[in-house]
Amino acid sequence: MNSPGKRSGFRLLALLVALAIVSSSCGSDSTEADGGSTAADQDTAAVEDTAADEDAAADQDSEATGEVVELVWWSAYTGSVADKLAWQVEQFNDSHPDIHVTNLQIPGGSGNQDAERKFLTAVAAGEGPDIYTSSNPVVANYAEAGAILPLDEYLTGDYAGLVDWLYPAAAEGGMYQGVLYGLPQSMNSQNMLYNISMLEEQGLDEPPATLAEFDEVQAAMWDYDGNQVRQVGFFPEPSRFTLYMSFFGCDLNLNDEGRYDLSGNAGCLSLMEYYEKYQEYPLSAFTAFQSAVGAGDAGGNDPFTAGKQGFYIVGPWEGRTTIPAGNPDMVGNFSAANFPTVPGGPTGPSTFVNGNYDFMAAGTEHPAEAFTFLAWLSGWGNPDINGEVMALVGWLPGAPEVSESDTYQAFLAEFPWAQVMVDAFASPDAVAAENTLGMAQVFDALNTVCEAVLTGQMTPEEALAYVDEQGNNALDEAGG
Amino acid sequence: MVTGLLFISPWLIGMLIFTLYPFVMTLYYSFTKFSIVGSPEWIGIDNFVNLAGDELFWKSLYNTAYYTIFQVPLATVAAIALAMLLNMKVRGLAFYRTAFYIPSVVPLVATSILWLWLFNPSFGVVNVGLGALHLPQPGWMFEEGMAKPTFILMGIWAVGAPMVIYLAALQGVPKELYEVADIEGANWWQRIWHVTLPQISPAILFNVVLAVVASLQYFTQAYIMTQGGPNNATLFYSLYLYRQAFTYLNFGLASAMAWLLFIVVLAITVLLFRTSSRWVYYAGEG
Repeated sequence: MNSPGKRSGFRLLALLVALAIVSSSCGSDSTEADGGSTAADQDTAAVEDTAADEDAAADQDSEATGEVVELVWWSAYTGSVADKLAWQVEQFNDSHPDIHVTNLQIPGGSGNQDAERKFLTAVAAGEGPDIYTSSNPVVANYAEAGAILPLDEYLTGDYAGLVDWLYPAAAEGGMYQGVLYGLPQSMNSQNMLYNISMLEEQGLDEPPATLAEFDEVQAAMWDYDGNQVRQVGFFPEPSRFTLYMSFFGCDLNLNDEGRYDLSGNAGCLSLMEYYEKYQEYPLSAFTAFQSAVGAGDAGGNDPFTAGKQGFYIVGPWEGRTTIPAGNPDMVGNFSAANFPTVPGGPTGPSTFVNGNYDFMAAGTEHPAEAFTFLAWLSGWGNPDINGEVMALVGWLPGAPEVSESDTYQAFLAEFPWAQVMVDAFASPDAVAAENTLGMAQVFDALNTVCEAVLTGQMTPEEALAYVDEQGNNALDEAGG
Repeated sequence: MVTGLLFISPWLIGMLIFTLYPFVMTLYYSFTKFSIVGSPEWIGIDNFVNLAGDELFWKSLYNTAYYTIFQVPLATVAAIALAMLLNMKVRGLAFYRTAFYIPSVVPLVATSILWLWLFNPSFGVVNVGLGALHLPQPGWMFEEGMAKPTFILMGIWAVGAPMVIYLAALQGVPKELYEVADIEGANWWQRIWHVTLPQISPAILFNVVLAVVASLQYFTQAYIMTQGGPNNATLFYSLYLYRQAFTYLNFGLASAMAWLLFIVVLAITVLLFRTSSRWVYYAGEG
């Protein structure tokens, strides 16, 4: 039997639980009222009513009072890049006396997921930054969730020509459903690096120009005894399907009905069939080899850096930073070229474009000033400063004017092979994946099916059908 | 009573806010479409319906069940066997006990990197050794069929924590029981089966429950080493849940997955406790 004391204890517990639930409900309501609605909602009334009014008020206030507007920018860079960005922020602060930006480098973690988690929870709690930097695959989900704000409202006056000023693919990568959400921070344009000495061993001075020649040369470069891989010519890695897409005329755009239809895209089928050709090299043997020499190009030694891979699809940072840091012996032993012409693919340069974008975080109290900084970060009005930052790592600038800046041209003069990536970025066949609510699922599905095709568990047709199914299911669930 | 509650109120408030409240809210979120930013939208049982039709959900469930079914018994046997060895009076006992316990305190990230090297099919020490003995050299975690067994092997290596508990339990077994068994002519196996295991069965129950819970939530090693590959062979339930929440921003669906996992863990734990009266011996009970 319960004593009165026990009953009092339970009542106290019940009261505390009730208080917690009630307070949380209040929190939810206020979030909704404050603008926690969807992207579509914010595109129109919310932005017009709040952001513009607040900007005007903020501008008037700061001008009238001479107060400096404080902005906080979260990004997840380390080392020399973080130092360079600190320098970049100093340049902005010096040239904009009415705005002061503080850059906070937050831990990115694997796949930047620690940073994403911190950003989302901070925004949900109303404690987010004013500006946030992340890679473009987050655009659709963040926009739909209301975690980032649309920028179209600010593309007037001095900034009217900003979108046209960008490379088309760079602008496209920051859009969701035709609305601009992100401006380029640092872009990736990836094309083919080749190992000069390995090519010379095959009796060639120039890289192959056609896919048939490429297949022949790369096959001759392999050192594989049926058990151990010691050197490779080329291997289409499962996680890098998107990097090869443009060469085959494949894209991840939704069709006219707003659905994924990779199965109906001849270029995608051609690329998946190309994966199928590599079944003769066991995926497990390649990944073991790759793991042994240090997987990935984010500061580690990938097989190309180690001098054990003939051809590698990668961006300028490979030659700008990874190779000099990881294997100085390779410096001078590589160059870049356009990927060989693929039947049915583009005849000129092409590339897959993605990268890091700067976003205006929901909840910022100074959207106009935040946009000023976002535009400035993309190089608008300061091409030389931006060019210097891009050159540090070997990123691609988001705009041609920055590519043509003295600082970036100095980088290209020092690393002339990087011009291949710049030209590909500027080409009409540079493609970015359309930002959708199913994009992350499509990327994961592509990784899965490429493994399955390479190991003979799926045909190319089955693989593409599976990707379509996963992507469209995700779209349906997001819309449901 | 009130005074007592006041004394424990720091813990109580923390538990209510940081454990009970999120716990209850995830139940609510499991019936909503929720991306953490903004307000949840009530969608009834759609998340559960979607999961039922999700091939990867079933795959992750299968992977986790496979891991648990093999890992828990094998790790239990290994931990008990090690504890028995370390309960013997031999020279250098302290060194052996320390050596076998150390894997349990090595950070999981460091352990994962270490195993990646050891199990590298082409250049790893394990396959080099197997090759020297003219034995087959599997692809370990790089090969779809071997990826889960590799993680199970790794798990057995780190049985230091349950091993210490078994060691303590073994030292509590009355010596008189072994003397009686000797007088009765019991052999080595009979001593273990009829004396040792019944005597340490409460510790076995405790460790098995913890191991089942940990196995069903297996995450870190797969996240670091394989990210669910190859071909989703190591896409464990918690890894898929994490992906739903933080990659796809489907916090509602992830909450539904969390509750399904909770129900499974609860059911298995209840089952273990319900059956424990048949195989767990508590000294002092009739």
